[in-house]
Amino acid sequence: MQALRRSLLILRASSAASRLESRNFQKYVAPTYKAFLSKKKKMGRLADPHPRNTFAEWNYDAELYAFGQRLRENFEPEILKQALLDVSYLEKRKIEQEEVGIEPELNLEHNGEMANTGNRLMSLYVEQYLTTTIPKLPKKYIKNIRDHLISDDMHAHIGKQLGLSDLILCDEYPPTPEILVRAFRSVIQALAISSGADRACGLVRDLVVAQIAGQDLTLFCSPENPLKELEEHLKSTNQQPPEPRLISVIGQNFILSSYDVGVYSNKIMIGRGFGESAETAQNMACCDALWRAWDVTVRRKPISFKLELPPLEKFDVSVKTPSRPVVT
Amino acid sequence: MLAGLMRNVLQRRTAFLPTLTKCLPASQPTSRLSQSSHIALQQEVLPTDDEIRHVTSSTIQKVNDLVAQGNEGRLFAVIHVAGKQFKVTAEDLILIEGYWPPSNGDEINMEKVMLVGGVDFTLVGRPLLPPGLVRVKATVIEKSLSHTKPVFYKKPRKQYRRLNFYRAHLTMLRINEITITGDINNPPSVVQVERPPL
Amino acid sequence: MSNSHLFMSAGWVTAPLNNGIGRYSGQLQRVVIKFCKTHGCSRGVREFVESNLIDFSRQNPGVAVYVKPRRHRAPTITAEYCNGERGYMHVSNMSRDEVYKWLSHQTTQSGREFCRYRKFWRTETPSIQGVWSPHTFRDPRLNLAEFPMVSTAPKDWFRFC
Repeated sequence: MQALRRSLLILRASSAASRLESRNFQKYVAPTYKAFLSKKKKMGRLADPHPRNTFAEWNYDAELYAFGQRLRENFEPEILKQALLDVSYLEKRKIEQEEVGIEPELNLEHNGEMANTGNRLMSLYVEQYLTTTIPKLPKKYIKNIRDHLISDDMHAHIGKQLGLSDLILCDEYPPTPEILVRAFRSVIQALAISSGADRACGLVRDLVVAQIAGQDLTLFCSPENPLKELEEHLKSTNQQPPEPRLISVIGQNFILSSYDVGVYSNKIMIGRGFGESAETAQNMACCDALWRAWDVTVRRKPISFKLELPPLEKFDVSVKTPSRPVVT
Repeated sequence: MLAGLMRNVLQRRTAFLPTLTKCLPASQPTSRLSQSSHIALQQEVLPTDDEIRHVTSSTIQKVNDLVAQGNEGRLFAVIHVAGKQFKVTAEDLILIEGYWPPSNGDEINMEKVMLVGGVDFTLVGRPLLPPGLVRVKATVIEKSLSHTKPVFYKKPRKQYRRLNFYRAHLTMLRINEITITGDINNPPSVVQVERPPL
Repeated sequence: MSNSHLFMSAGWVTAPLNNGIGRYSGQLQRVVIKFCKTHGCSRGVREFVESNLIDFSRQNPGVAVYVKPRRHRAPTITAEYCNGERGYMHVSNMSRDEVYKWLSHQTTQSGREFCRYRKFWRTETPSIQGVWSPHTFRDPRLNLAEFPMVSTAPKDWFRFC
C-alpha cells in the first residue's frame, strides 16, 4: 500500500508536468479579471482589513460566552479573557500610555505563563492517550506522533479554525501563528482552571488527538534501517531471525518493474512488501513486518476517540492542580 | 492508474510471446509449464451435507472467535441510506442528497446494513444483515444546500424550451464506529420453530 | 450547462477540524441582523426580532447575535463562521417564518467556501481487504517458468500471465 501510494505520487507528478493545458481562454475571462482588478483598485487597502473587534456590532463578553458554548464548556470569563490577552497587546498599550504621558500602570497579565502550562498538560495527555490506544508502538515513535500533534503548526491551525483570530487581544490583525499558538494553549489551561483538568483533557482529546483520525500512522514510524530494527525486534521477542525471500518479479527489464518480497521468521510470513527493486521491496517488507507487530497498519482497529483516561495526577504526579491566577 | 499501466505492460509482454516462440526449433522439449497444464479428466466429487455443515459452522465459529477476541481489525460496511448505498468505514464522511430530517449534532444508528467486512472475512446480507448484528454509528455534522443546478428541457421544432434551477438539500454525516455486536448466524429476534408434522 | 465554471470551484467533502470525530461543535460564531424600523420590506424581520429572536438565541447559545437597526435600508443577515468566512443574505419582503428558516439554515453550515462536490463520499482508508497488484492471484509456477516459451504452449497460456 505504501509503495503503491508513493509510486502513484510520482506518476501523478510526472503526468502533471507533461499535461497539455487547455488551448485557449474563454472570451469572457479577460474582461472579468479586468473588472475584478478595477473594483479592487477602487476599494483600496485590501491588505489591511479592519479587525472585527473594532466594528460597532461587537460585544466581547457575549463573544466569549458563545465561544465556550460552541465547545460545550463553561469557562470563567475573567480567566478566558486573560488566556486571550497577548503580550504584544500589553506592550502596545504601554507605549501608547507613555506617549500620552500617563504613567504606564497595567495590572493585566498576559497569557505567556498559561500557554506554557497548557502545553505541558496537552503533551502529557496526548502521550498518555497514544500509549493507551497504540500500546505496542515503541516510545520513540509515539513521541513522533505526539510531536506532530502538539507542534506549533497544528496548534495554530486549530486556533484559527476555532475562530480565535477575532477574539485574541493582540497588536496585529490577523494574528500571526505564534500568537494563535499561545492563545490556543492558554485556552486549554483556562478550561483546566475553570472546570478542572479532566474537562480540559476531554477537550484536548476532541480537538487535538482527533486530528490523527484518518492519518497514516506509518508515516510517523518509518525506521531508518528496517532490517536491523526487525532483527532487534524479533530477538527481543524470542523469535527466529528474519529471512527475506523473493516471492515474484514482474516486468524485470521494464521501467515499471515490480518486486514482491516476503519476510519470514520460522517459515511464517510476518511481512510483505513491494518495490521497484529487490532492495526497496525488502525494506518495505521489513517495515510491513514491524508495522504489523506494532499494530499501526491501515488494517488495525480504528483508534477510539471516546476513551476516558484516568485523571492526569495518576499518571504524572508532577502535574499539580492548576492554581487560579490573580486577575484584576 | 498504476493498475492500468501494469496491465499495459502485461499485455505488451504477452503480445511478444507468440513471435518469440515461433523462432524456436520444433525439436526443443516442452517446458514444465506446458506439460503440467494438460489436465487429465477427473471425476467431480461433491461434498456431503455433513461436510458442508461442518465447513459452514467452523467458518462461522472462526469469525465469531475473531470478533470475541477483538481481532477483527478495521471493519467496513455497505449501508443503505436515503435510497443510496455507501461503502463506509470508521471516520468516513458521506453526503446525503435530498430532504432528510436529522439535524446537526444528532447521533444516529444506521439500520440498513447490507454488508460488513474486515481483513479476514465478509458478511453479506440477503439483502440486509439481521438487525442488531452490526452497529454503524454516525453523527450529523452539516446540513447545507448544493450548488445551483440548471435543468434545461427542450422539444425540438416545437418552440418549447424551459430553464429551471434548483438546489438540493445536502446532509453531511461522519461515521463514528462500525462494530459487530451480535453473534453471526444467530439473530436474537428469530426463534426457530419446528415444522409441525403434516 | 456544464460543470466547469470560472467562479465555482469543484471540491471534495471535508469537515473543519475533523468535526464529529470527537464532539460536534457548531461552526457559526455570530450573526448580524440588519433591518429598518419603518420600511415595509423589513416587516418580517421586525416580527422575527420581536417574537422569535430570544428563542433562537436560547436554542443556539454558541452564536452571538447582533441586531442593528438602520434607517431606510434593506434588511440583511450576515453570518460569520469560525473559519473566517461570512455568508450574506438579503431578507427583504420575507415573512417571519422565512427569516427564521434561513437563519436556522445558516446555523447548520460549516462556512466552507462554496463548491460543487465531486464525490459524496470521503475516506482515508479506501481499501481494507487489500488493493490489486500484478502479484495478486499470480500462478506461483510462473516463478520457475523459463522464457521464451516453446511453440507448443497450451492455448490458455494467457491464464498464467
